[in-house]
Amino acid sequence: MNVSILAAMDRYRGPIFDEAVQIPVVGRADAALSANDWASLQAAFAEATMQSRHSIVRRAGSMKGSEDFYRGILESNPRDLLAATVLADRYVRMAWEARGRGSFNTVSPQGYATFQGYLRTAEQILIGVCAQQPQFAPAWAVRLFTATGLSLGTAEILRRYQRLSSSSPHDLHAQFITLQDLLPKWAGTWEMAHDFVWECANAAPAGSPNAALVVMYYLERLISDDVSGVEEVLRDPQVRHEIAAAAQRSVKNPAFDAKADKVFALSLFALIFSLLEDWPSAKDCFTRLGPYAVEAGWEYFGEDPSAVFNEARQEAMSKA
Amino acid sequence: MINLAQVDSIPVVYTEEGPPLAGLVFRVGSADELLSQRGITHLIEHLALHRLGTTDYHFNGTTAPYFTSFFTRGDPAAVVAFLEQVVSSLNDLPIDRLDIEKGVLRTEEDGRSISMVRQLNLWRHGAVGRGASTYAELGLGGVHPYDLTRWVSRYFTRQNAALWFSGMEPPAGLRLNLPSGAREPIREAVSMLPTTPAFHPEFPQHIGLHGVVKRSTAAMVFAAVWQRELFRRMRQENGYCYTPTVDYSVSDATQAAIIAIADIAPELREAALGEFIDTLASLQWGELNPSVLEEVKTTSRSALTEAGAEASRLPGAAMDLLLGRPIMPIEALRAELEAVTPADLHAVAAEVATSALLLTPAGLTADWAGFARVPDTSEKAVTGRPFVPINDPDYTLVIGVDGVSVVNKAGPMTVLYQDCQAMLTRPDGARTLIGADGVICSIEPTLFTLPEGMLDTIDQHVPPDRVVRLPSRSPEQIPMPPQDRTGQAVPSDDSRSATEPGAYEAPSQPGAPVSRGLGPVARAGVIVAIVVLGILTAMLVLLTLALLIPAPDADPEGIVFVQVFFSVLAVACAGGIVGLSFLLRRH
Repeated sequence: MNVSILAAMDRYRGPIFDEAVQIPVVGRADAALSANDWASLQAAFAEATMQSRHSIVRRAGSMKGSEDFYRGILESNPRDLLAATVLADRYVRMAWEARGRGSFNTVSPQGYATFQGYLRTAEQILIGVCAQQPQFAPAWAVRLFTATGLSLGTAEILRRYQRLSSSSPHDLHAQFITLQDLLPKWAGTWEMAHDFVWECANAAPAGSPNAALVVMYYLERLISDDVSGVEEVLRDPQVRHEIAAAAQRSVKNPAFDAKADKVFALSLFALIFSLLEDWPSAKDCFTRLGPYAVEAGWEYFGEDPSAVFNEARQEAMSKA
Repeated sequence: MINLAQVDSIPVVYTEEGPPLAGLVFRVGSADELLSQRGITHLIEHLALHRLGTTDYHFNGTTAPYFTSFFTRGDPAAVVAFLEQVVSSLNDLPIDRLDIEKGVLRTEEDGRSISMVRQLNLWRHGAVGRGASTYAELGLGGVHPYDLTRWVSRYFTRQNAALWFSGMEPPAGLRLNLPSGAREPIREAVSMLPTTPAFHPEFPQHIGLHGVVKRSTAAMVFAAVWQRELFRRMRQENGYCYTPTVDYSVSDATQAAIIAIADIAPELREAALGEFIDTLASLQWGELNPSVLEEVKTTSRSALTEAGAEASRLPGAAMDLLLGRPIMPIEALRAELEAVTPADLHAVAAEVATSALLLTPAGLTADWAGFARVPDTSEKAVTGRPFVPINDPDYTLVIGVDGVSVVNKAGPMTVLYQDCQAMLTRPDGARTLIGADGVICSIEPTLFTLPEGMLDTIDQHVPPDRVVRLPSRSPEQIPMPPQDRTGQAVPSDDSRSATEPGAYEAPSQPGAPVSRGLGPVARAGVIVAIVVLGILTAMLVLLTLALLIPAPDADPEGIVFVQVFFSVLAVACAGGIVGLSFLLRRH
């Protein structure tokens, strides 16, 4: 088979974004949830890495109608912190469903009241969880969402991030949410977000995926209303320099392959190198990704992130 | 050990160990006063000590919310002389000193600042009892010698007194000829909070929390543990605040208040509030570091075992006698201390959390953490005649048969006559009514066109013992309606609150809305701008019309262009006028 046939197949198949397929333990947790099998879910959670634990909580929270199940578990064991955390995450999801994803002025007063109500319920559950077990990072991660929705301010968001990182340092998922919270679209500023991503990138050991947050930061700049165009950002030598430095700390670092959670970083760098038309680097990332990717970033450049991904990959493969 | 005795049927607690000290305590204090009498107990305390002013005794007096104490240091003979002099002065107050002592107290009063503790008590208890004790000493001006005698004969009685002595037995030959009366229990503290836990934004740089708990050794230990935890988490680990404090104070025979205060770094106030709330939650639900409890026990233990431990308990023991509480042997207190477990602390934390009144940093809420916002306004306005201030449509004064309301955009502020704790009056006619919940309604007659006799209606309904007559104000202190653009009078003082109580500088009152307007200078500027724009508009319109008259040798296209240009300018000027008028009206 030649390259063009492969590319055509890829375009048809699309990358695998689903973490349940990428990570077996997340898949097992999903299966346990579908079967209302709490013991198996706990077992999967126990053996998962911290990043997968966050995934398990978020996937449990996104399962429609599951709140009654979690409430039942919590009633029979009020000290079940995992049940309390997924219930809180479920309330966060319900809050956003009530609000809608649009900008603030698209939200009805009723929708906003319901949004706030669910978020408060979630927050008050999590205050209890974090009081009982301050080292339980997944609960702090959900508290990053509630802090944003409840407009508790950047100082409080950073406090929560610090509380989380004291038990789970260099936590990519938490850093990703915190970055979102620190952007101007929420309570923060570009400077604050920029400082944060580089602090995370520099603090993590060489070869860690955390420097990919720098990419995420620039993707946010690219799509924000504050800049006049994608081209302008991409032409900026400072941007190119920072992306290169971030790549050297992560995907292009010799220590990278030995680390966990590689997909997130490779996927983001594949995207930014494609945008920068650095095709050899992009091709390298796509090749190492194999069939996997994360949706983050790709979704900003088209309705169908798979199509965007495939187009970029095809271009990288042919032009490199 | 603490011994019990009696002197002239006044109960006594004493120890023979410790320094030679003595005290006479009465179960009366500022929380027993009506707001309109505020200061009467303090005034009596000062008068009772006056005749001792020139002696060499080491003595002092204090007036607290629930107790008034006189104490001295000296040999038994000096103690006898002191106590007999105090009692003799109480029986025959130096009334000739009344005006001078009032002046002394007013000077003391001026030094008082608005504090978190006062605000917490004000929000919790309004203007009644413990809440009233947070107010300025409003009653001093109107106190009559007759009021003093009545107050003394009710509260400064043998049945309402207790004595304590350390370093001596009750001195032989001590005779205290106090009048006979009755024991005065502490009136049950009223809460003005519709629900708890509750919050209200207050000071920019402080967080304060007031909780109500059962009196216990565990609650005292809890306060110390909480202070340590706040210090560790908010100061040492994060630098959110400088000096957090937690105080335990007895409210009555069964209840105590726990008050936590943190002075916070303003730029980190959101995080400070988050950590403050999480710290209390940790004490309620979390695992307690055993070493913290042990450290607190060690400190408290030494206070119960060191030399003079019994003697230092005496003033508190005398107060307990007055509250009808048993005097616990120190061994029992030690045993109670040792028995305090983490579970006990969790229980106290739960009591604090459910009864909490949290004053958040200004601008921050705590509804997200389950605290209900304390309403800023009254439930409803009274029915009655509405009056709008001259040229100031921002608020309405309603005078009814049940009470008075001031209604502005935020809602009504109402004082019912039956709930009125004090009505401050001025010779110029100003009236300031303060309700039981601390709501203030001020009436400045100069700002309204009130019909004859309207103020009398109010005066007739407010009970006479609630009226506080304040001295007259200088003319510039009396608010006057300033000139508006038509030359009519409009209200002057741009920052005057609709509810500001005249010249009485109250601590910032709960629920006192402030209606702010344009300053007189800004107002004048806006008016001038409107007039200038008006003239400009008229000129432009005239010019445009003038160009309609055909001129024989003019370029028709050029004229149309100029007409359009002038019209656009005229419309712009008119728009400016509308905008400025709106600004003027809105404020």
